[in-house]
Amino acid sequence: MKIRLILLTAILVISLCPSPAFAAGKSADQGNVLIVSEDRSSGALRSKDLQFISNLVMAHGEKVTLLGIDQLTRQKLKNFDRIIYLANGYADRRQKRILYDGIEQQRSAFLQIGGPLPKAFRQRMGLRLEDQQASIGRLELTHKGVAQMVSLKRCRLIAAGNGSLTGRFTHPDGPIRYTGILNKGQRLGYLSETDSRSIQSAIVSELLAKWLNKEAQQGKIYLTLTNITPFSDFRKLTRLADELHDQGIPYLVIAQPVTSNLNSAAMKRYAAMLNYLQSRNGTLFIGAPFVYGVTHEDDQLLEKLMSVFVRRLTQQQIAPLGFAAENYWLFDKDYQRESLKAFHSLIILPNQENLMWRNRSSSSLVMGAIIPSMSLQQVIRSSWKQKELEHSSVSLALTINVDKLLSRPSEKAFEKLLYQSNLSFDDYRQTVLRFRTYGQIIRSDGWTISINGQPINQTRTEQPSPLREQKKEKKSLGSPHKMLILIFSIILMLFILFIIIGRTYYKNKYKRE
Amino acid sequence: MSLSNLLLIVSTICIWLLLCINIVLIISGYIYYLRTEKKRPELKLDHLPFVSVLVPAHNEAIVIAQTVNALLDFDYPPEKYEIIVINDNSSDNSSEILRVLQEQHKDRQLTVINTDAKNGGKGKSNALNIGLKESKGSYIAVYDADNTPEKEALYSLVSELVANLRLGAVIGKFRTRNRRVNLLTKFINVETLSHQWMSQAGRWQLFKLCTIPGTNFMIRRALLEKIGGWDVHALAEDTELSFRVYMNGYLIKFQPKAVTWEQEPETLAVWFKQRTRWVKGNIYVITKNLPLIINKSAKKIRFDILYYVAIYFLLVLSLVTSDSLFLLNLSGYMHTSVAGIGAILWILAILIFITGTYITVTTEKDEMTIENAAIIALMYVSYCQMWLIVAVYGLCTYFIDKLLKHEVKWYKTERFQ
Repeated sequence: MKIRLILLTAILVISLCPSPAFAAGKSADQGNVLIVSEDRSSGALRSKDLQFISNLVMAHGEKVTLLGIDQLTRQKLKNFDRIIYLANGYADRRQKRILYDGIEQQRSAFLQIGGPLPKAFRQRMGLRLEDQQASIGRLELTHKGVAQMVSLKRCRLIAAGNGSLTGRFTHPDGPIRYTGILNKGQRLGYLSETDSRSIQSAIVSELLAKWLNKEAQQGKIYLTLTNITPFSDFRKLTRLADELHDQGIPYLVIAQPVTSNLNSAAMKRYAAMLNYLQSRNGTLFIGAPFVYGVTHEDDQLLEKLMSVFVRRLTQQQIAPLGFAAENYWLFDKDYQRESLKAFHSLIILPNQENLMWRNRSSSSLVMGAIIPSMSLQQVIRSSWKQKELEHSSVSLALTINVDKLLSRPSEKAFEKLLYQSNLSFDDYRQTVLRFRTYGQIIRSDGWTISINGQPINQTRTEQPSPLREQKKEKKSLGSPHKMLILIFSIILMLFILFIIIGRTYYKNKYKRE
Repeated sequence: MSLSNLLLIVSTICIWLLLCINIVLIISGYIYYLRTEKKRPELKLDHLPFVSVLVPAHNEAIVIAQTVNALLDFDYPPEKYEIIVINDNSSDNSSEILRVLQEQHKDRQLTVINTDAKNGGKGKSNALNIGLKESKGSYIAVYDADNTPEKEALYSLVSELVANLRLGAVIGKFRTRNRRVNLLTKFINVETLSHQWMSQAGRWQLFKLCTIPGTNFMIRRALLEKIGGWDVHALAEDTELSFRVYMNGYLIKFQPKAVTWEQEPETLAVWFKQRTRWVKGNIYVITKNLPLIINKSAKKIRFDILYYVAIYFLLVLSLVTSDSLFLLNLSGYMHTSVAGIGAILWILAILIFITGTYITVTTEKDEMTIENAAIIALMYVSYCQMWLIVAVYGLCTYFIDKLLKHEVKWYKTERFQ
């Protein structure tokens, strides 16, 4: 009896006290993926790779923490169960040792992209790397038949390994090689570096999905019209919306916010246009406003401006279902707090040249849905890319800048390309979501969208009324400007004529003296 | 529309309006130049009237001898003009120099009036009124004590005034004697040329309007006496006098052949004080004559009143407003959303300023140079902005003086060796 009691107590104590592993797991930020890179500067040669990888991880619903290898400590490593190492620059031995030793000790899931891999890791994957001479061959994703002819420069590829191999490279003069591997437990992975960026990115995507155990997910593709502003050509937009609507193609619209003169006629026309787009199968996302150097003392200015704009939209029965911002916004506490947190979904746009940080953070914000973006043109011309997207485990926004459709023929050409492609676009309105944005509760319930509980009318067919007026106003605003330029140019020429006359007078009068 | 947007729109319109007026004046001024370039004043010697040349001088020992010698050297019959130097309560050795000059030229009609603190030292207007009382001529010419008029200057003024009975006064052209000394005097040189050719000549060509400058002008004695001489309260006695001449139905004409060379400020401090006096003087004239805008008999000078109002109030306030809005926008304290004037228009406007001003320098010997083109371009970013500071300062101090009832003080421009 006594023994039984002791045993029972022991079992109870063991079951109640967390094991060291469990304790570590608790303290760790679960679902927090650490991406260690050798160069994080925005102008770095391979900063786009870092953006691309972080976008993918965030799109899988994971929180991302970005750290430079020089910032790494054992203590910091302990907080992460999954670590990606992007060897995109230079790191000294000591820094690498901190990383590899830490991973070995805590047995973290680890994926290395590029660079040499320590022997211990190679052994765990049964990995054999071999030098590959420069050659032309076929690089393909293992199971999907997505392939591209590539010209590889001298690099190190995978000759053999225990686990699932991907990125199969075949060429007539040599054996089959691979660019990626994931060990049997899918916790250890390696991707060798090649200079074939496009298809390699697809391989990264595939490998990451497996490594994160998200390969079963099926991503969606959204056609996304960008750069919609009050100055856009509304006639063109109406035509495009009608065309897409008639063809049954749903799309997202990234509309730039207006932060002042919200009662102006221009804003009314803009709201009417957005309303029309919404009624023609469009789903509205608000684009991040242009931010300049931080000179304003009002810390909440962005929040205030966004709030005013969102309120104005909702008054017009326009329901923004998401936000669109550059990648770095996700790593800035102020942008997170003042704008991103007010939305459920986010389309990540590529970082532009100048990043206007306000309060930089190493960790990203986890949102309801994070959708990386890619240029539609880039996809539409590549059949393998389209095929890859069919199997993609992350959703993707394929963007088209409407400003680039300069003429009627270019619009037509774009539409033709769109219909000829094998892409099938999804409707974001089908996403079930509910979120509070700047005091307004927006809910999408399959097909019905409501603001503060009131369903909005999505079947309005009236055209954004004053298109003719807009044209007329453009004329009346543009003409005086042109007229003044003309007048001043004539005056300038007259003055130059005066100077020429003056010079003749001057010569006759003074030069003789 | 927000207040900031409204202010921006109004100020932009005002600035561009003034720019357009300036363009019109440049074109008219240049037409006047082309019209008068080959004309020579003609008046028979026996028709030449007796002229009194008044020279107010307060502590002008540095320059007075040169001025008097130049005046004595006029191509004008010596028996037909007198020179009256009003040595206005000078504390330097002006009186000694003038006595020596008198002794040297005993055969000439050179009178020196020495005033003391009791009856003199109250500014240029007061000194001129004293000189007027002592003068005999039916035509009164005025020269500042730092002037070196060219020989034919007096003859040019007289022939113009005698030939046209509608003229109450004739003004000549003044040039910068020390224009090569430094950048400031180079700026002033271009400014004075531009002011005369573009502003004076343009206004004469368009509206038969001119403003009397402080020096190198001639006025009918009868008219001067009728209007009660110079206003002793005016700091810009010349502008003030011009308005009264017009109100009496006379015209003032610009005669570019009458040339005098004067010394201009060589330091910023002196320049600032001189220009502040001008600004305050002109504001006095504006406020004094503003009611004339609605006076039917003042039809002739409405443009001038409005022009001065536009320059000293509208332009200054517009520039201050637009500059302030620009700074507030930049610092994030205010937000304007009105699209500004396009960059092309601004560039055109600057080019018009440069070419328009350069047209002036083609009228004068040794001035049509690349250096002057560069000076003009530099003027736009420096000297013109300095003018704004002076104008704002003058405007503020004028109204502060009025409010606190400060006594009007005449600042005498410092001379340089």
